[in-house]
Amino acid sequence: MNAAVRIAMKELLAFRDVKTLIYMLATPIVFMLILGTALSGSFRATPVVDDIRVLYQSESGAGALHAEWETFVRDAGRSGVQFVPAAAGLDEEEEVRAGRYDGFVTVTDSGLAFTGSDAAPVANSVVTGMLETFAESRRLAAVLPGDASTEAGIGGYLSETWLDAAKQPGALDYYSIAMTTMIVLYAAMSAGLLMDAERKGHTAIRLLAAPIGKSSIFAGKLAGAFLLNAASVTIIVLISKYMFRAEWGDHMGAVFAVLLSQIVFSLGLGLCIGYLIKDSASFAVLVTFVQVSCFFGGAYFPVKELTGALGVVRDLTPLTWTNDALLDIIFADRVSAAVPTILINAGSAVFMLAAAVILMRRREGL
Amino acid sequence: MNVLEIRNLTKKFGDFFAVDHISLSVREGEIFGFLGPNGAGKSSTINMAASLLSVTKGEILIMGHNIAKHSKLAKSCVGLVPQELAIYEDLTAYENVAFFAGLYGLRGALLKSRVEEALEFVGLSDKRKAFPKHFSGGMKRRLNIACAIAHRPKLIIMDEPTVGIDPQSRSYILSSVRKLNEMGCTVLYTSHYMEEVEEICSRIAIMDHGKIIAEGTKAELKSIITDQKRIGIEIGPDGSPDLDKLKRIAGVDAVEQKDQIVIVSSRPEVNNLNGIMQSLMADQVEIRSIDTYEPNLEAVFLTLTGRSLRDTQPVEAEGGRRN
Repeated sequence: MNAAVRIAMKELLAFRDVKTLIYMLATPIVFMLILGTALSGSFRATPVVDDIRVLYQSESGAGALHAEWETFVRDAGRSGVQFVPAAAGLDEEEEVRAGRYDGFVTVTDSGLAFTGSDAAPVANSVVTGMLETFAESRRLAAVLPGDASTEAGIGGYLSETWLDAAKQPGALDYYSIAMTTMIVLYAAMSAGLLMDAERKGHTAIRLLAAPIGKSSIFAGKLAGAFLLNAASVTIIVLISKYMFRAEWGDHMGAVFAVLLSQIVFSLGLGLCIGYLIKDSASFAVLVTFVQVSCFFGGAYFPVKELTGALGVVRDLTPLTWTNDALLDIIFADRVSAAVPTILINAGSAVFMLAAAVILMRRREGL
Repeated sequence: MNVLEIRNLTKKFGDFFAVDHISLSVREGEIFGFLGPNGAGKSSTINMAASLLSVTKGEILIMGHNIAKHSKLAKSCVGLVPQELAIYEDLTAYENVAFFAGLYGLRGALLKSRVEEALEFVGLSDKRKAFPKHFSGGMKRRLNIACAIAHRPKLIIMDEPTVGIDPQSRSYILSSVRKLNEMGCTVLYTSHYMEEVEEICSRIAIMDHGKIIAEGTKAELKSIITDQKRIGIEIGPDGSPDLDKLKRIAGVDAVEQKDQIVIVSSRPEVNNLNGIMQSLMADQVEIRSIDTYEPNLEAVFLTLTGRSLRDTQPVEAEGGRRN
């Protein structure tokens, strides 16, 4: 076992310390439970019905039905339900999925086919009610009777299809992600003290007197801290997933890749600041940075609506890009969102760790 | 053979010479004392020998290995007992020793046996599973030593290992140093407690202002001041002796007063005790006792530098041990 591995193994023994366990495991778990439960109401979709917008495509030619449909559309507009003709080439299903419209209707001589979104149940209910009334009054027949995803409407005059909207996180889902990434960012603070602890405990003297290089000490400390945080994050994710039933999606590999890259980023940040700024001032800088990041990065509550300078701060916060990537991976099935985040985290970490190594080499002692 | 050889060693911090072109050698099997007041340059010298501090100029060879060129080889021959307690509070006594010994390449059964041996040596075998936070200061000091010896170094560097501990632990540590030496270890022992250095060291270097001002065996160093006799006269609290008058007495070289002790250094061939007493009585000073002082390292240092080794110390140490 070489010296770096031995030092890394020694770092892992920190798990025996109750205070460390509370800090690394209990804190995020308790917070995600409290915030996830207390703020669950804020994450529930509120049934507010503003203007309802529905796309339509009329294939009924210039017959009587077409004229009646146009009259119906005009009347519905006065009731706050806008039926908008679909432009040629428009992907109606995508428009509905994306939430830009509440549904779309295909009008043919033989009947109406309505496709709605399950993200807007109230709007759908209003529209289908209107369409059913229209269809029944005109004794229209249903279309698409053989489609498995299609239900025959009342009286068989209207067919309805429901599209899955993008999944939205509940409070517990959101805070499971936010607290996990927050505690990973907290690793920057402990990383800032990684070498300082050896200096203050005078054990740096023994490490430097041993027949090992400074690089082995650095690598061992870094590897130990990484493994400690990786183990801690894994436990947090598994507890939130299986005990709290938080949603972590179907792409756990991508989720962990993002989280691990964030650990490397946090350790790089802590070590770099620790070497750049001397003594306790570095800790103060890291605490401030982490707290600002947590605030603007959505650790305490989702932050989406910021504009101007605050919006820039939000976008530059490490938690923002990590949380956004995780939300995309988990709730929009966009695995590719992991790539830029991992590259930013890992690239920044390499830069900061290189700076820390250079500063360490220039320094007398550790 | 020289276990440690220092040649023309210099350490500068800015314009300040912490160590100023010193040379010395520590021979195999000896306990070499490094004596000097705080700030003399002892720690800087030791830190350079232990590779903790970079060398501004000069060379350090440990077992013939130049620490600048063959750092790992040189370091593997050294066991460092720092002045500060350099142990992990969150590791047990066994884990502390095993961790540091592991850094010297020990592993497996050999590591286990050496760790047990080191703990046994410092009397902490029965505390192997205990955490240092539950240890007394003396026990921590002993663990500090165990961490430095498990890999059986040729040279043990001890930097003020008895600072801040009780007399019993100090005595234990000093006997441990002797035992280590008997087991074949060469020891470089630094202290500003001249009694310790005098008690255990075979050769001594005295350092001041970054320079070695004297080096040799105890006898050689004391011979520097055997051309003087020193007496200490304890006087009453209201006494105010005229020190200038005392200095004018025939044969008197120096007079100093520390609290209620007047120390008079004279040439040994001159019998001037009567004159000294008469002078004090003429000043209506109450004389409570008279002691003669044996020459010691403190007196050597005082003679060489005009200053005492420690800023504050017991009266006996000022001029030497009382008879």
